[in-house]
Amino acid sequence: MELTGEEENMLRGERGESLAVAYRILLAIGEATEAERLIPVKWAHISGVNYNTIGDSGVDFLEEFSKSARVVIRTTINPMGFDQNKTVNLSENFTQKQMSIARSYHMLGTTTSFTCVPYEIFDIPEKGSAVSFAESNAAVFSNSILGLLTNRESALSALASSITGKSPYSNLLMDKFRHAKVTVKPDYELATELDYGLLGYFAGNTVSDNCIGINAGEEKLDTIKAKALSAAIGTSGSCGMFTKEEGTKQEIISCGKEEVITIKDELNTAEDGDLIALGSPQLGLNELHLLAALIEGKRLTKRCIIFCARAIHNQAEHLGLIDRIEHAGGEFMCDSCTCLTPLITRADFDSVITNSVKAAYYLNHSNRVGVCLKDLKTIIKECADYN
Amino acid sequence: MGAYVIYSLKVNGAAPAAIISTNKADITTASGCAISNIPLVDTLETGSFYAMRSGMEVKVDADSKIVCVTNRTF
Repeated sequence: MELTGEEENMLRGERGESLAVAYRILLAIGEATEAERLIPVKWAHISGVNYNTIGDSGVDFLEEFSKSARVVIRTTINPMGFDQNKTVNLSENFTQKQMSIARSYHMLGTTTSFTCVPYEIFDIPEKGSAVSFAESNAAVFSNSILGLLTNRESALSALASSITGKSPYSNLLMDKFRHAKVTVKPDYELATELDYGLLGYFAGNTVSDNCIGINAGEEKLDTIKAKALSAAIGTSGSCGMFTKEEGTKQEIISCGKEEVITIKDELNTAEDGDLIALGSPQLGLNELHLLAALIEGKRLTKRCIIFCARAIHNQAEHLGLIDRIEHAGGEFMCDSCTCLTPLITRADFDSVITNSVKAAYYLNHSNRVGVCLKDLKTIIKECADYN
Repeated sequence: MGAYVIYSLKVNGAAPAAIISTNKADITTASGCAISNIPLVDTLETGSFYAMRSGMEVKVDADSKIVCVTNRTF
């Protein structure tokens, strides 16, 4: 990859060590993705915010990095481990390290959004704008639904983009890579968000291309289904985009009921759960509207934690949704997400009920708790009684 | 595996001396190696890769993308 004279200077450290590190990262990923140059990006969304995901070395790295680096473009960040405004029963070590990470991102000048659904909160740049998103569901959703251009960035490459305002011009930033060679076509009817999650998991796991074709029959996916599909594609593979576009040269892979049952059997490791966890990705306003309607006049019979961004929570509060959901027994956690939160561990819960394929994967593999996968309507039907 | 995991291996003295891949390196691996100063060579031709065996000494020059088996001990 060719760098400009100014970029070379920054790589050599003439503008400080943090920028040198950032250009070293961009050069490495540019070489790996066969980019010829760097291009400006309008927005970076950084992962690597939860202490569980970056550990002590990450805490120290960010503390040092943030002493001199400052973001030069809009930069939003992923969820952390818990809700800052609530007293949570976590170790002092976790709390201190997590707050150190939050301070570092604040020092860097990021918008401390603590959200994995930035696309539901912030103004979306015009179609065709290049961005640098490290959160996989946000990358897939933004490429596929919003027409933004981003590769599946890593925590470090999005961080590098945030302080340089640049990203290598490669893969999904280029039009020629944004067309599917393989289309996945389910041979059954999809109804719920869970159906779309399972289809996405199959597609991401089966096709290793940057862009997958999905032909699920619907003309326009609603946001809830598109989120479930995006998150699951991002969980099971490296694909960064899906498209509905079909071409005559495309290979068609059929996804049958049996394939989906196999995936569900793999992720559904419990018959029932002690806790309902909703929000991976974090819930948006439309999901909170749906949840409030589903539990109207009912009372949840199990503890239910709802993960959402603080910005969404504030809006939902104005709309009266928070009161309605809390009245039915729902419990909100802002700033955090079902995935990798230290709030859900084997010590407290044997198994968790969720409608999210992404949550199911991480709860099984990282949190080590059993998972009972059901769609939201079924969860509320089975776990809420009329008052 | 996240990019910070590679960095954590380096900080804790448990990182590989170099990483050789037969496929294209992904963004996570490339960025993790970049901040950890771990030499990374990707798209190594499969024949060369399978010629390597445990116990062999391998020199990796990531800048020139050269992997050299310097000592066969068996």
